[in-house]
Amino acid sequence: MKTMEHTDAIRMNAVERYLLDEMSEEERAIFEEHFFDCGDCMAAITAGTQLMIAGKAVAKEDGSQPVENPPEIAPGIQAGNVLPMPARKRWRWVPQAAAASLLLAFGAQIPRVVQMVRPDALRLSGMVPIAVGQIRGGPDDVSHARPGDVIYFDITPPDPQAHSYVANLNRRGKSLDEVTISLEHAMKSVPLLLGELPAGSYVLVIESVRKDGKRYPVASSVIEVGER
Amino acid sequence: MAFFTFDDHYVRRLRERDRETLEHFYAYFFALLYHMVRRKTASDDEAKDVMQDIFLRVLQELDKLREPSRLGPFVCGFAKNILREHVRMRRHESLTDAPDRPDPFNFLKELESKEMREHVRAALSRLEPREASLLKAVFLDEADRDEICLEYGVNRDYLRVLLHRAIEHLRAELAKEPKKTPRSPETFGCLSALPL
Repeated sequence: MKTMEHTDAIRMNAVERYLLDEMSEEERAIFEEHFFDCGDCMAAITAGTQLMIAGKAVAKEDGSQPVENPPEIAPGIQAGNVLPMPARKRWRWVPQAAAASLLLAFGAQIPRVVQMVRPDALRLSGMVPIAVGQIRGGPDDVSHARPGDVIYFDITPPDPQAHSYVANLNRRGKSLDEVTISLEHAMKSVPLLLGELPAGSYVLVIESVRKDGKRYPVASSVIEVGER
Repeated sequence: MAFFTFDDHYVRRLRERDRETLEHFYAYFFALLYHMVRRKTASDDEAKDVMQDIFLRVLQELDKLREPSRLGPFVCGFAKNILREHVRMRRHESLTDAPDRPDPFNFLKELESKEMREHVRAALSRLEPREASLLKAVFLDEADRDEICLEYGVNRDYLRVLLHRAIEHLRAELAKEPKKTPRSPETFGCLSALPL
């Protein structure tokens, strides 16, 4: 049987995937051999088991209480699920690897990859809240895209207090859709797949979400969406 | 519970069924075995039977352990074999039937204790309310995880990151507790080493 090194376990998020039952039988067997003999993984599995067992009891106890902040289900968004793209979807967040395979899978109908012009247009706004829809920057900050394009942007510099980020697409001040971006993904270029959108000018606003759930716009950029 | 380096003293005390050592042994391996066993059994009761078999078999076969430091993989090997066989027949000796022996499943109660629930609450409170709500939905296991992710507008990668953060928060919470005296391998069996 193959063996697993600790670096492999970290690289493949083995602890989380094990606890979430996301491993194949072979992976599971290899990882089990590993964590019985690895201090770090043993401690993480132990804590994860504690979390999930006690967490279940906590969830049951809290079940009768209203959720403090009910989940906002943005219409038309299924983050991470890239193909096929139903016509009603406006945009989706695409993991890096999925974006790459998407490009390959599309073959002749390959979607254009639009690197946001002037990535520095997405910059920290000094934590001064800006009205949704307010366009920061000049005309040079405009990116041009079409439905079906994958757009990339970087969140630099990041908000050190962010627990996650939200990318909100709006038009004329009206929020259309949004996707959550984990800190892990925010560290890389974030790809978004644009769905069916009427041609026109849109604003992409990146907000950091702090521990207390409050949001702070950190950057924005204009996207001119053309005809497909 | 911290990673433990098993040695001759520990294994000897285990062979002697020293209560304190048995308690440590059960507590140490319970959480490691729980997922492995539970996912292959239909109920907690069935899991309990299988885990008792595992612990019992390991204790019975300790003489076959050549390197005490390899006790972890030794237990893992037995667990896999027993799960494969899915032995359910009752043994002549039941760990819980024997008087004055700890019940391995007491540690399940410990994991659900009020104290542990408070630690978990504290760990979850360090996440966004929406994230904590998502994880609770996962813990309850009442819906397919893909459906939960869809409902919350996240993907499985995000779920893994959240779980990772929650685990780290819980470990930080547990680390705040006054540390119980660490039991180094040398402390096991040191009393028995003294001449009467």
